[in-house]
Amino acid sequence: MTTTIEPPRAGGAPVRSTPHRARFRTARMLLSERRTRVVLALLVLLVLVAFVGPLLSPYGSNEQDLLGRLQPPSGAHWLGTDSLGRDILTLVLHGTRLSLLAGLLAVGTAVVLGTPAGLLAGYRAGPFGAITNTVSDTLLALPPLVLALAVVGAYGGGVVPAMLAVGITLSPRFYRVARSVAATVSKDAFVEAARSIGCSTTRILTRHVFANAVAPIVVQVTFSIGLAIIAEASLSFLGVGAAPPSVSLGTMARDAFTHIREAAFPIFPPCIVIAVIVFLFSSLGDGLRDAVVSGGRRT
Amino acid sequence: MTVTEDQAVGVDTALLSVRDLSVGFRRREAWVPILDAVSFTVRAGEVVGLVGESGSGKTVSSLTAMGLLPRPLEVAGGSIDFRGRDLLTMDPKQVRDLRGVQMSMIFQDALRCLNPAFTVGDQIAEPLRVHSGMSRAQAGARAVELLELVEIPRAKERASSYPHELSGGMCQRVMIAIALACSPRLLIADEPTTALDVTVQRQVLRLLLRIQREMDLGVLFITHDLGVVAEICHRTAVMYAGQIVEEGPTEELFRRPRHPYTHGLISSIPRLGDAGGRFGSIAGVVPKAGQWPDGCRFASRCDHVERGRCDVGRVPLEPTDGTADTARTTGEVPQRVRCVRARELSLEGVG
Amino acid sequence: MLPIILLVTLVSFLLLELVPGDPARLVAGDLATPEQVEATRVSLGLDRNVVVRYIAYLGSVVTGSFGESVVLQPGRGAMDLILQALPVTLSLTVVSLVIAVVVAVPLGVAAALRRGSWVDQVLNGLTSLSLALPPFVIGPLLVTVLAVTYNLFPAVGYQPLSAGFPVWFAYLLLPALAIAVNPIAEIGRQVRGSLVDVLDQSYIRTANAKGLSTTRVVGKHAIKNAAIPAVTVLGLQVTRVIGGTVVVEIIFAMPGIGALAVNSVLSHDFPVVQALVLFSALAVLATNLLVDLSYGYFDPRLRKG
Repeated sequence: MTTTIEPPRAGGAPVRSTPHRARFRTARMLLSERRTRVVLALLVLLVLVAFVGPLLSPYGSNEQDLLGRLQPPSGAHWLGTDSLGRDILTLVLHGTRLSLLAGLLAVGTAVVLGTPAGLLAGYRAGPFGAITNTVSDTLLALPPLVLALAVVGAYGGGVVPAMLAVGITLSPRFYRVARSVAATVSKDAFVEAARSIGCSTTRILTRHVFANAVAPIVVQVTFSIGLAIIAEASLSFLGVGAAPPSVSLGTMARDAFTHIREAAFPIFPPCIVIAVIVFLFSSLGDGLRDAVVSGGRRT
Repeated sequence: MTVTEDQAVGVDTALLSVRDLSVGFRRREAWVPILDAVSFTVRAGEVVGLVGESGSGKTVSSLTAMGLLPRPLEVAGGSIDFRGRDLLTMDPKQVRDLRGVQMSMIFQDALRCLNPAFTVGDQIAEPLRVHSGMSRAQAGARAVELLELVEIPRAKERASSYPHELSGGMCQRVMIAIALACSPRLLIADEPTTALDVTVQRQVLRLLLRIQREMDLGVLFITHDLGVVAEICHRTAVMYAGQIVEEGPTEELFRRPRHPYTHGLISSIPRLGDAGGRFGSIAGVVPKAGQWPDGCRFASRCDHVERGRCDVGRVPLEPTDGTADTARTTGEVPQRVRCVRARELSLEGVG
Repeated sequence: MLPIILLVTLVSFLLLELVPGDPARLVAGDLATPEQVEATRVSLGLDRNVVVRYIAYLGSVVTGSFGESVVLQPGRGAMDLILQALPVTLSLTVVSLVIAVVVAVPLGVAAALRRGSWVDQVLNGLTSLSLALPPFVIGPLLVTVLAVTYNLFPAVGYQPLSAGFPVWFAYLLLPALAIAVNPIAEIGRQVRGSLVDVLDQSYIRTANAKGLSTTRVVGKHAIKNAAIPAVTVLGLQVTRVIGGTVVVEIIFAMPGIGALAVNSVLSHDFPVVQALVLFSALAVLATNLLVDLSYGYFDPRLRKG
């Protein structure tokens, strides 16, 4: 989530000329630091818990118990109950799953919108680049939360339109990263040579350019997922994101906050879980970015 | 204070007296030496050249004198006397008070050494305002005077220029103006002309020489260019692999070098009229810091090496024949050389 | 700049097109009579075609009204509503950014000067952590601890400057802190990073060679050169701060632009929503312009002519 001034470039990594084995080489480079592997393992664990957990829970996500509302943690309810008597732990699990899916949707949108345009704009200077630059700059001027709010307000509530809107506002990041990589690589001698021998096949060059873009894009993905998850939670908190029967960490926080004077505890689980998820993603991003910058060479 | 030979010879007029200075750094558990018992002297009114290849330790010597030694380098021993006070045992704040006031330094690549965010007038005026307590107006006026001193045309206008608007030669003049602002006694010049065009080089050297004479400055001039040394240095010390290997009056050094390395350096200067003849360079490479061999460090590249004599034991820096006695009487600094075979060799110099 | 502004007006204009079904019916409500719906349609301008509407919209932007509210305060210019709410958000934004700079710069400087030490590492860890704490997490936590449990600060509301500086500040402190946490982390990191780079430069060695104190070397020579990336980040944070005000104003019940945004969305007052999108984008663009202009001050090499 760190706003880098220069988009991460694969400065330390040698430009790859054989796309076929590139994917494994890239993966190995990205995972070269132990810290990165640890964080990735934790994230995988988190994903598993989020998707399997709800199935294992004895409570449904909408199982209300109005007599037992706002109970503190106990043997029956490990994290207590909310204002409608629902088991908070179950809600947390469902909410986490929703957050992860929402983040994925937003970032997926952003990658699909931003990356191809960026690669094309960076590879060849021209009017296409000028237009896409303007569009990208325009999107950057729109605060994500405000735009998402407006889109949701117009289209109607729900996580999906909100996340699509967030994805649109995140796409300039991927556009810029892709453009920067493409511009650097297109000046590479190998590309000049390929072009001079008549290798005008845009496909080969796109694969070559793309292979180098994978690593910085992956870094940006991890940072953006954190932002998207926070956006989803914020919108749900405001009441314009997830709607019942969906459960979101944001709606949980809202519920807890509304009843803060009756019971203080329920605000903590959703807040802490969000913080943990985002922290893991941004740590992963830090680790991956360090790996890209150092080219996978451990000091 | 210990009475050494140097002192007896009247080095009381010494501005800067470096004695047995050793500097190095710790890498993992090992100690890597950079300077090995380096000693040299600069007196008021004289220009002393410190010559050597890159990596010989000349810059480190000067930075240590100024108290600007960067981490992780540390001083391991020796003393640096400035006007009688040992800088190495002084409180760092007191050393800082001397910097820019009594001892100044100028560096190579002057454009990079000037702050791009401030005007040159501002940068010259700064030491005046900080050290001499001048007001902004006073310091500004004095800055313009200094710019005129270093021969920058239209000084008053130029004072409001930024470094990137000036040429390399002008930037170096500005650096000199900054260094001279508080009328120091000692000026250390670390390769000030190396990055400049040949014509500009001459101008800056002439300027330095003129200023040195007018202000009776002591100058330590660091360079790898013997041609420059020949032009402006009264005395010269030659460094090799962290040690001083020869020291003496420049003219004498050129006329009759005592150390094979000095001889090699002098022979490598291309001269007009050499019909493709002697353009030698010294074969081999300088041993790296921490990998210095026992005995003479130049032995592996020396034409006059003798096994069993040159490669065993530490070679001391000693006065050359006869000069020790004459030095004691004339008050001059003795000529010294670090070579086992110095008395035997007769090396060719230039007239 | 102009094409971007035009595109932004287009984006905000097109929001109305996203409404599924009939916007007029939605705005007028389920209980409205056909005549009322028709009246709403006219006030929304939906009786004209798209191009004409867009031109009319541009017209309203140029004249400064940005459209008319149809639900919250029918007939009143949307810009009026925004201007009414502006002082609150402006106070909040300014205080947040000031807090961010005042905290982040010393932290960044300290970390840069003690590079590699435990201070640096702790700060690095804390900044990573704080990036994971968005305003809607910190806000409730601050309220719970500082306002509900220990009645140190007011939990809700806003007092204008006219009520006196201490009162004004007391109401702003918690919400501003909630917003400031992220910018502190980002700005602090950038200050540290660019200061480390600057301190390696030759002109810093010259400054030291002049016998200047560390305070002067860092505070005058280094900071000015390290400023540009930090100011850039500061500018980028404005988008984040604007987004933050939306959540924070709701949490702390402050009648600012963020609250206006949420309320207008929830009540389907589309013209106001559109006006807000346009307004916040223009605010961001204006900030970027200011940041660009400031570069010339910090780095004379960038000045033209």
